[in-house]
Amino acid sequence: MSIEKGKVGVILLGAQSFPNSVNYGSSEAFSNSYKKIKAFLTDDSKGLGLNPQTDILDLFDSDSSADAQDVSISAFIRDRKQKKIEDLIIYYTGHGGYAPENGGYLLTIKSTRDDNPGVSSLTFKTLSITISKYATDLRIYFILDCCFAGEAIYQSTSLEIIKKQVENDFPSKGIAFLCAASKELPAIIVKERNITQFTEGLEKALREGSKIINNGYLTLREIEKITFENIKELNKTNPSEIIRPEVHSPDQREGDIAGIRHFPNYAFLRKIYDFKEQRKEIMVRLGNDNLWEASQLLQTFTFNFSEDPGLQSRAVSISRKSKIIEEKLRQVMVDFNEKNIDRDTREKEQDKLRADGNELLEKIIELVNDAIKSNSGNV
Amino acid sequence: MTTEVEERAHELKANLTSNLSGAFEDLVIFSEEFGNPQTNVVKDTVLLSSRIFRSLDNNNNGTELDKSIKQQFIDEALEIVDNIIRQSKEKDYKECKDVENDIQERFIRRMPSSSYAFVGEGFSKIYTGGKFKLEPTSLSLRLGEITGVVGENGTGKTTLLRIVAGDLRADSGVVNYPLVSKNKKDWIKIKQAIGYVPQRINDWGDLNTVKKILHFTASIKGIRGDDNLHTVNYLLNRLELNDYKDYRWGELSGGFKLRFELARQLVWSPKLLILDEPLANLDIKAQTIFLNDIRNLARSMNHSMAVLISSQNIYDIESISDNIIFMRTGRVKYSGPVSQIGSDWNNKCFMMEADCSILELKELLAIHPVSEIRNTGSYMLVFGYRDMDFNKVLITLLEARVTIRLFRDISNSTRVLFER
Repeated sequence: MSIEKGKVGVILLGAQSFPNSVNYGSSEAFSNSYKKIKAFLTDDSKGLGLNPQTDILDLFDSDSSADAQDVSISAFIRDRKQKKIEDLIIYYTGHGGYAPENGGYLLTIKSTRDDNPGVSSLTFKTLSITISKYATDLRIYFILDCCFAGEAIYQSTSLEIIKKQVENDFPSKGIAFLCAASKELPAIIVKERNITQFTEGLEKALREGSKIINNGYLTLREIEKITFENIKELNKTNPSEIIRPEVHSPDQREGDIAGIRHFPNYAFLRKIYDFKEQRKEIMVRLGNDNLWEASQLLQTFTFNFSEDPGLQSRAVSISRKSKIIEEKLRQVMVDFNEKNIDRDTREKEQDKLRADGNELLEKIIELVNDAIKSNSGNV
Repeated sequence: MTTEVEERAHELKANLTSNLSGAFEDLVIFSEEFGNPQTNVVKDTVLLSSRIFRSLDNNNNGTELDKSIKQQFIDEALEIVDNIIRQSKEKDYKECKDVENDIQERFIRRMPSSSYAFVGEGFSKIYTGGKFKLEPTSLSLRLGEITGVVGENGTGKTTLLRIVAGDLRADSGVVNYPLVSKNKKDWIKIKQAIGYVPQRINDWGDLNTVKKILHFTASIKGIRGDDNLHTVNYLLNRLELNDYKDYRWGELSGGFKLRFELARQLVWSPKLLILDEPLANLDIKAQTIFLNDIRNLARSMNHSMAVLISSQNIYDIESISDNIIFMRTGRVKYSGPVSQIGSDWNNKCFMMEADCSILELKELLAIHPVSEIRNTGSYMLVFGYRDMDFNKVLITLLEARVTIRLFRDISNSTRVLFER
């Protein structure tokens, strides 16, 4: 249901160079953007961990013609649908433009020719027909990192026949676009780092998520906002060049998929499985003299981060002792207030209990360290 | 060149010197992040921090300490910071941190999948006689996430929970448990993965003691030997049932009966835990502990669960939930993340209890962009436009010497959904 291995297929499109075109200049930035996105998709520890052979159709810098690419795309979708994927992500980086013959929006590829770009490039119209025909019942996310990317949406819906086809072919699932730029604005390449501005911000958004959004999953709209924040942060020195990405979801009959919490928010998810963060929580509780809560967290900590039942039992035992100390401390205050016990006696009793508490505090720290050490060989 | 440790240390030192009571917690965080785990520096920091806390706490107001004691604390804190800076420059420091980072990464890689424990689309229910119906409802419950269900009485919360629990058949729509039974619905498998604590808990009478029933439940679910002993001990302690482990069910109070039932449902590590109004029988303190437990258990690394919990205690439920479902007359009126409640609403609202009448309040707040004031009997609800500034409202009220007993911004709380 969420974007994850086994349930998603990805198509990577675009090119770094356009040998048959003078109009569309080559740029290593496209290649760098493609590499970043692909690394995120295939990274097992800090990404989606997709299998590049089976989960991804990589047509970036492919020598094949637009027609051959279209055939590959339809074959890939058919194959992945048999494997029960639920989501299809189509990422394109390169030059977006207009076909001079009919003004249709096109996505340039390596075979794009200046004398007939409308035929030699992937046109958005034909691409959307293929996608609509074969990707029925999938959630489709188009990520377009190219100039005038916002125009793609108008192309897909302006022609009545395609509009109808989209509506017929996606009865219950939707389609959403994340575009580098609006239809009025060109996308930008960051010269210093030789990468497209949009993908640089997007990859960071996908890989890191957001610490501010307190949820394990993000919507495409949130991804767009985080991407924009990243773009602003990464391009602080050049604010006039900043272009805000856009999200469009033309088919919203069965709900807007751009609003579904579908993309992992690693900043949030990792925190839970990050022993350092959890250890910090325990230490802060101890520092605030909250032995009881610290010992409760300790139980979760040992349960999560150690397979050793001995350590888990120690946590249980510490937790019981801390409860006893807390209760005795409370009782001392009750007795002081209700039984007219003098201040000296109260303080002596409190000091004794706190000394026991300090002993327990040291044991908690010791146990936290032991739990981590027990993993230094094998997690 | 200044290192990150030095940069943070510089800032921390300034804060410790100028505002010890506000900065001593940051000292623990700093020590935890940058201290060498092979040394006692974290322990020393925590001990110092707890001493500072106690001194502040003993000092009633918690802000002013005796000057000499305060200076002593500051000196000790600064010494710890310098010690951490020194450690960060030692040879073995990077090696120790690398080992930790490696373990950290390996744990993060073990992060459980984000799979859905339950996915229901358009499921509905009409009771015989047609007096009440649950309108078509769609709902997805993901591992590690808590979904709170709130709404007035008789709005269909229990019906919704019972359908998800497989305790009630939906009249239409689809319910799936993708984690357990992917294609064909195998109810035996599904039921084994669900823990359901209904409003009315099963009566175990005087059949046996708490501990023995838990061992029994674990064993019939296939948890035997040391695992059985270990799991039961863990849950008895975790849910504070240790002192009552030898009690028979009938001897337990309402709150402990609930804990016992929760322990019984958790003993086989369900993938989906459903709790119908669990807070009703718990005192305030027990409610907090219970909810924190649910939070921690849901996200547990080894046995994460999807949790669906209904309650009337909306603020408490909101505080631990990832998502909220608000129901009214059998229909889901809001379903989404807690963080997005009210985001579609272009207004603000606060509730207040104060020693003034609604007319006086209207007069006082006339200068603010207030759209409506409602008196609910025990408190007042003040609705305003987006530009209503709560700080300015409070200043107006305080300047008019109104005694305020309660003031709560509920613009982004489920509470406001009850009134909209």
